[in-house]
Amino acid sequence: MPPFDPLLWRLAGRLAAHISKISHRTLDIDLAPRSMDAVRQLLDQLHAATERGWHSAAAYLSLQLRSRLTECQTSINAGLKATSPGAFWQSPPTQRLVYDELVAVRADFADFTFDLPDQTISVTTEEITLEDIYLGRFEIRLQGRELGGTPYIIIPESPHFPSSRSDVPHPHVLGERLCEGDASAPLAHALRTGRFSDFFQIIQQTLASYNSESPYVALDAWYGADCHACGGHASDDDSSYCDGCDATVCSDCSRSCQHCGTSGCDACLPQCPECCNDCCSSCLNRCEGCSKLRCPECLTNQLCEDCHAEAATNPDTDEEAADEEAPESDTTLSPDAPLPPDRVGQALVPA
Amino acid sequence: MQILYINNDGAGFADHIHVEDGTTVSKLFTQRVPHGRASDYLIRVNRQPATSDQVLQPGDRVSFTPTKIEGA
Repeated sequence: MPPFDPLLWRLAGRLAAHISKISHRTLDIDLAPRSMDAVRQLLDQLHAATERGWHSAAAYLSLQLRSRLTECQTSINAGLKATSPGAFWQSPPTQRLVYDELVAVRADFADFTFDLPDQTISVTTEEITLEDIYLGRFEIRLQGRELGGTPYIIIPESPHFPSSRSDVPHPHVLGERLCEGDASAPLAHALRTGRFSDFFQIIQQTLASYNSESPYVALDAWYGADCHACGGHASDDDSSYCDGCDATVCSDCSRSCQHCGTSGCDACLPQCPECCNDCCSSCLNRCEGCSKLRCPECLTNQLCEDCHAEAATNPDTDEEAADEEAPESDTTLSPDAPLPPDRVGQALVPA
Repeated sequence: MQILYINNDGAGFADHIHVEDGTTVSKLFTQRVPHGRASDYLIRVNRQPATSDQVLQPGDRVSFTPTKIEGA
């Protein structure tokens, strides 16, 4: 039996008083007396109308009665909900019970602290690792004055945020708020009845669990992101950003310009049509002879290999072209000119 | 005899129930959580960890808390 702690006893008294106020609040059930009175009045009128054979009036009054009865039903259902087992008629916890609960919390958690003036209680969870992602310890801070609202916050001791967000220290914590999910009802029930040991245990178990259906950030994307190109996971160490579209791509899908090093994805980084090496659009240049795009290695004196070959076999044409500075000169018009490279001069013709 | 039974699963439950004399923790668990496994719960008697063969006493506080509670 631990020694009696007078400060903890006083805190227990204050928390018990807060819970007592919340319990009283649940007594406030509106049974819609006006609707009840209206029902009685309508019943009398309906009885009179029926006796006198006023069928139209009776039909109208029955509709009114039905509407009023629905209102009564709604308020009665709300009353039934408010008086569900454990929600209403249990007497508020005593100071003794709350004290015993706080003593149990102190035994359960190594770092138990409380502040009597602020009416706060803080505990620290064990180290939490979910699916091999280390998240560290979390402080659970209960704020006694907030009982009845959202009375606690979650504070990471040493945050291990995902690479994508700095406000999600845990898959189910946004900022300092736990998204309670399945824990919501048992937490509310535990607080309403002053079961603080259960309250802290439920939060710890929730923090130690992972629901892959609805995390703020999925654990498999905690470090890194999905590759934009192949859809696989790209860890921080194994990913890069496309300079063209800013998408994350894994190392297998990441490419870089052979000439300037610009990185990109399949969609953003073109290839040289000649040598098929990766080459960004800034480094690709048009051949002055045929206007085809080529990388710097495939252009010599601003001409591609084909245009150089053409110039070698027909130097006159080449000279004329150079003199006139008209790269679009159609040398293929010469009967001796070689055939143009594939697709040059071709156009789609409707069938 | 009467005990305070607490189940922190689902909607949460905490109320006094009647159990037979000599009821053990494991028997109560089987009665109250027929489709559950004891290893999936933190089981406590009077806020202390309990063994499965512990015999319950009148006025005991017994709580079952799932080890996995999914946030959203």
